[in-house]
Amino acid sequence: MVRDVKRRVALIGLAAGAGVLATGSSVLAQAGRYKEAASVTELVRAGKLPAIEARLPENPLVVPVVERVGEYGGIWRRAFLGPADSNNYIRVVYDSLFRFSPDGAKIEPKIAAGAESSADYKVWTINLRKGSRWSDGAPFTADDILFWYTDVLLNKELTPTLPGWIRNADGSAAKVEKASETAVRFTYLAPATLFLTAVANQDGADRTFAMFLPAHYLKKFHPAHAAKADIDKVAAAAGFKTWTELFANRNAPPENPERPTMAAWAPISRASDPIFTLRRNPYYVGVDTAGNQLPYIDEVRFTFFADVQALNLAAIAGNFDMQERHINMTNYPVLKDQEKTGKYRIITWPTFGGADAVIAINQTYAADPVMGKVMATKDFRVALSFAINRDQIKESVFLGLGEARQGVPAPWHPYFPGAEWAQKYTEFKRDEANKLLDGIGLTKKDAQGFRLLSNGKPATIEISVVPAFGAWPDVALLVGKDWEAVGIKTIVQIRERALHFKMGENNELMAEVWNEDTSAFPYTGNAKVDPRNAPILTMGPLWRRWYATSGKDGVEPPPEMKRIVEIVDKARTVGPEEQIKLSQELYRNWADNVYEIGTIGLTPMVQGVVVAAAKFRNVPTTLGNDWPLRSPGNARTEQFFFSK
Amino acid sequence: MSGTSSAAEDRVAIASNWRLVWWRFRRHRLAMISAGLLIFMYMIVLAPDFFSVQDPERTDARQAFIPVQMIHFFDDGSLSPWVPTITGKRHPVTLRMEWVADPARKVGVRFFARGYSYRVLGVFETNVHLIAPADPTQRIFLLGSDRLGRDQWSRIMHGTQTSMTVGLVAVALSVILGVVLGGLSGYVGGKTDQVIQRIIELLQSVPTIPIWLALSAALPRDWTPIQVFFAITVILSLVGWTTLGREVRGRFLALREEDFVLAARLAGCSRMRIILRHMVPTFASHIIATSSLAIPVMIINETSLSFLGLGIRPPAISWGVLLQEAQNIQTLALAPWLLTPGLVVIVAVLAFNLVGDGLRDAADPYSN
Amino acid sequence: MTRYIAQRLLILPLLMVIYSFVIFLIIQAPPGDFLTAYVATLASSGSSISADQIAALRHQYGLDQPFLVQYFLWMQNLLHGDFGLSLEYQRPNADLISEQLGLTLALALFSFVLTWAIAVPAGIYSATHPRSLIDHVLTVINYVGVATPNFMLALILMWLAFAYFDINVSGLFSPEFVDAPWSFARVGDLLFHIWLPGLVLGIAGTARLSRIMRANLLDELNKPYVVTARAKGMREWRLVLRYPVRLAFNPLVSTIGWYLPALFSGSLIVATVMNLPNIGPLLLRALINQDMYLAGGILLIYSFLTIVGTLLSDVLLALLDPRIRVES
Repeated sequence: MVRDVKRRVALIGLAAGAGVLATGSSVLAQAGRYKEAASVTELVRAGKLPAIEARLPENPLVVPVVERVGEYGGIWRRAFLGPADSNNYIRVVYDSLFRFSPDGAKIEPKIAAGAESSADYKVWTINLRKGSRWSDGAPFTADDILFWYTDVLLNKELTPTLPGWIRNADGSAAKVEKASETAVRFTYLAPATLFLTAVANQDGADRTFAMFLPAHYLKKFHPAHAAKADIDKVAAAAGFKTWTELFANRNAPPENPERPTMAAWAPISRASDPIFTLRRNPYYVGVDTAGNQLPYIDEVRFTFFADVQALNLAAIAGNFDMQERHINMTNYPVLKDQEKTGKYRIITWPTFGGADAVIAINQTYAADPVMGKVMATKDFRVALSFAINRDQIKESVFLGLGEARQGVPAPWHPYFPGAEWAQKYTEFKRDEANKLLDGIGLTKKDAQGFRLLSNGKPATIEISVVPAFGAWPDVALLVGKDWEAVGIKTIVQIRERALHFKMGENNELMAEVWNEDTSAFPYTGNAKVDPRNAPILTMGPLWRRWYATSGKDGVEPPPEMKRIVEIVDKARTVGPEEQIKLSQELYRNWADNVYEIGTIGLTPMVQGVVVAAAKFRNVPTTLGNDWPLRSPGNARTEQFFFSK
Repeated sequence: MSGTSSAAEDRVAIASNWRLVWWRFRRHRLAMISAGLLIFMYMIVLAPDFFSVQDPERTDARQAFIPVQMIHFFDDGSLSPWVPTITGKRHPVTLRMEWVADPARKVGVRFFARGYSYRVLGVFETNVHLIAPADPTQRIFLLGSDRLGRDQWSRIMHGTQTSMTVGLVAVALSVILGVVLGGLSGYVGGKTDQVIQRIIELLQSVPTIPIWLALSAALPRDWTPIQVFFAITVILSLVGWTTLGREVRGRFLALREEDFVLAARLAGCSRMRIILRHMVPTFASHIIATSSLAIPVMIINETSLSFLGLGIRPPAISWGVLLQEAQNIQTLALAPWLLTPGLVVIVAVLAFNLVGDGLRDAADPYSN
Repeated sequence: MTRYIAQRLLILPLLMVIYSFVIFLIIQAPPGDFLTAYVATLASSGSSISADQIAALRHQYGLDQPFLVQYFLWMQNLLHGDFGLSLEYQRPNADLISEQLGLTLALALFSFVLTWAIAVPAGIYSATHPRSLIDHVLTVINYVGVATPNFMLALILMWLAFAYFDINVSGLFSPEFVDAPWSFARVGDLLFHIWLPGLVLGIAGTARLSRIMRANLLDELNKPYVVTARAKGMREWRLVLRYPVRLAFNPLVSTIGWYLPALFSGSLIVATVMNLPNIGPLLLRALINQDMYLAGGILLIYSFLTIVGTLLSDVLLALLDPRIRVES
């Protein structure tokens, strides 16, 4: 049932991360208790692989199954849009030390065995699984994290600026030391309560370096460990200008199948090939509850599609075993209709809070100072929010799914500020909107009925929209009509995405349509409530400059926005209860000031329509669906299987 | 020899070249029908609102994906056009909008009836429409409705205005460019010819797509979709003049050796005058025929580029925009009536080709 | 003649330099760069990247350098036969292009042969049986063929194939053959898949070609030598094929040179819609993602083919028809 999106999820200390996390059970670690795929057994017999006990760590990761213990074999057919879509791979394998649970409520150990923190959250120790191995059989130890720290993170050429999660307030890097062969200690100057949330996303996504790297393989491409002249020769032969390019390329599994990984499947071809293939990693640390080594599925094959429509047609034809990425929600009726052929079933994973289309209003728009000032007026934004007929948007664009809401977390999330805030200003009240607009002095109108600004020009807003998730131009068109009905002239500009982003960077956009995801993670990653990140949302580019230049340049944010930033900084260093309190305050503030005007949320629009073959099992029917959760990675893809 | 035939011969003898062309063209039946069709389409271009049933931008979430409503002309034996009322609801499982026609409840349809008001050519305001529901509060969808509940019929009318104009204006501009530059190239020859020829090659070698991308980025951002559309027209012609330019050049190469050109030159005419007053008229009819064949190419180019999302963009309406919006599986599977703009494109292109062929045959003095 | 060809060949390098500059200008003209486009791609698939990471990558790829510096670096590499590295694929552009080249050419040639194989006989039949029923039918088909935007045709055919025959005709191979080594089975699979895109791509060309063939042949058939031959009792089909058809061919053959660049560019939209492994979509993606060295490399090849194609056309025309004077 699609409408049944509200799951009751028991959330425990999501933000702070429990001080100590359970380490994998070692009950199964007796000889003969583990089983493996027949194809792997053959390789063992042929002497090409060591026995299973030697491949698994002492305390393997025990992965609970969704429906039942699975069967080995099969090729998981998927689709992707080429190398720029390598996050498709990233999300499927979710190759990280810790990962989010399926409901997104917990952070659980994956490659690592667990972690513990000091009472003041300043010192964190990550414990690795003793005896765990890379996909080429080499041991995975603390040195692999230390290599990342010393030779990659602290290498100015590879990492010109430190990522926020490892940076102290004074700009220095947190200290990372080897506590033992299988333990690494992180020491921060201030409490780091969100340490694990950050670690759960250090998986090498977006052309970054994961926080654990195969040192034994990568050292030969690093001048600290190999002769620079040799590396340069290899780089030149491969067409790279510098050793850093070579290193980045050798480190990226989708670009280099030789690079060992810790994931359940490792690439055997490249993302630039017509089919990007991953094959079972016989050293994967996970087993199911019956002691079968995971993954069940032999291979994952991503077929290249140049066009999303062709991809959707192939999905409707049943050419994929499980695919949620790039499936357009507008095709839901067709998919659901074809479901009766029995080839596949359709599952929906609504987004993890926020709103699936918001209109961000630029608060620091400078090209037209008069209009810019109006846009920075709260009553103006509230009026625009009241003017929107969200019911029409819901019916036209979201197939009647979801609910009218602002971009705040979902009701089941501890940061949820309460229903009255989620629905703040979302009622369709045209009279109220007109009253508010009159109230801020936009009383005079021109012949066409548009309100005039103090300089005599009609109040005009341009909504820039990128057809990224298909339906946004429609949202913009509908919103534009509603705004014109209250006397605000609205121009909808559908733009090519790169142009749109360039304009956003240059503070040239007045308003844009995007989605407000990541609302459950305001403190890590690139949360959109924090104007200092905002490379994506156009809320206040000059606020960002103000923060980046420590107030020398740009525009000083209003007190409400400063409070949000203050909360973001503070919440990173406080305990769980305090954090929840601060977060709720943050989102009350956020909803009340409507920097972004929410429309409809909690729909499966963003990668939430899942086409799963009838035989493809163990796919959860509910899942926290968001980028920081790496969905479908948090569905524990290694336990997906084909039933015979 | 009878008297009438000699009178006809006299008529032919004194008739101007244009009149001869017209006589020959008139004999081409398909071309004549096509010409009539095109004239009708350009009438739509002049006043798309008159031909529209309702405001093409009017949305209604509760009236999405309504199938084609056929007009029934007779009601109980008397001439009183109507369409059945439809009621729809969302299917609870597939979430698809499903519509049921109820022939017992009729919506009257009237011709030359009152509807929403509009301006004709920006001059005078009226609210008379070719077809409109008898009760202005009702809505009828002669070609169905799209996902936002907009009337497809009215959108096609407005798309016709945009796309047909693009074709015409772009070709007009390319003809000017082609004649002037091709003429210079052919008449002057030498270095000028070399340079122009290489420019033509360059323009022909660069596929239109990157020029488009660059252009859509380089246009001033506060331009409305209408301004963008005119800019795009100009660019279409900047690329499109090359074929004609080559042809004109070829003609000039042949013509410049002719006596009458030499005579004009000796009489002291300027180059431009010789090109425009003496040489161009000798193959003007050929140029017109070629241009009418170029218009459909422009129209297809416009649809292709809009289809890729690089040409005209909503909220402007063109055939390409309508096709682009129909380019998804949902439409193919559930709302095939949204492909009607494709049929309109085919008909228009067909008509232009037939007229072009007719003109070419008619303009050729050697054809019988 | 030789001198003429030599002359044209001599200015070729100069032209290529000019072209390369214009091309670089065009691919650099859109605001933003590869990383802006990359951020946009990430954002539109639900991921995000920090401003610091973007700056670091921009520096690493040399995208923060001035326009002319980037151009000269590109040229310098080109002169060494190095097409550079694709920013998106992180692999040499030369590899990426050559990987697609084979199937692109196969498809282009297939549709080219299909075009001629259908258009020439149809044109001959129409011309020898003017105003017959079949002539009229062919004429209608031709007109509609020219008038239908081929991407629309592709989309509709793909849907029909799925909805009524339950086959997915996108791509050039079945999934199991996409990266299989060449074998008879794979060739068979290719032949099974290639006809639909080949037809879609060729339909407009077929229509145009058969119309030209018909018109040219009709002109020839009215000439005195044909009447004479017929009067002398020469068998009709032999008469038609031996002289008029050959002459009617001339103008067509001379345009073959133009097909060279069209072999690549003609398929851009259709190949994208039908998900064909082809240079067209590669170029389109490179342009949209501002993977500029890849786009530049492909465009350079296009221009080169155009120049060569034009030259070839001119030479063929001169060889076939001695009446055309080669200007020096």
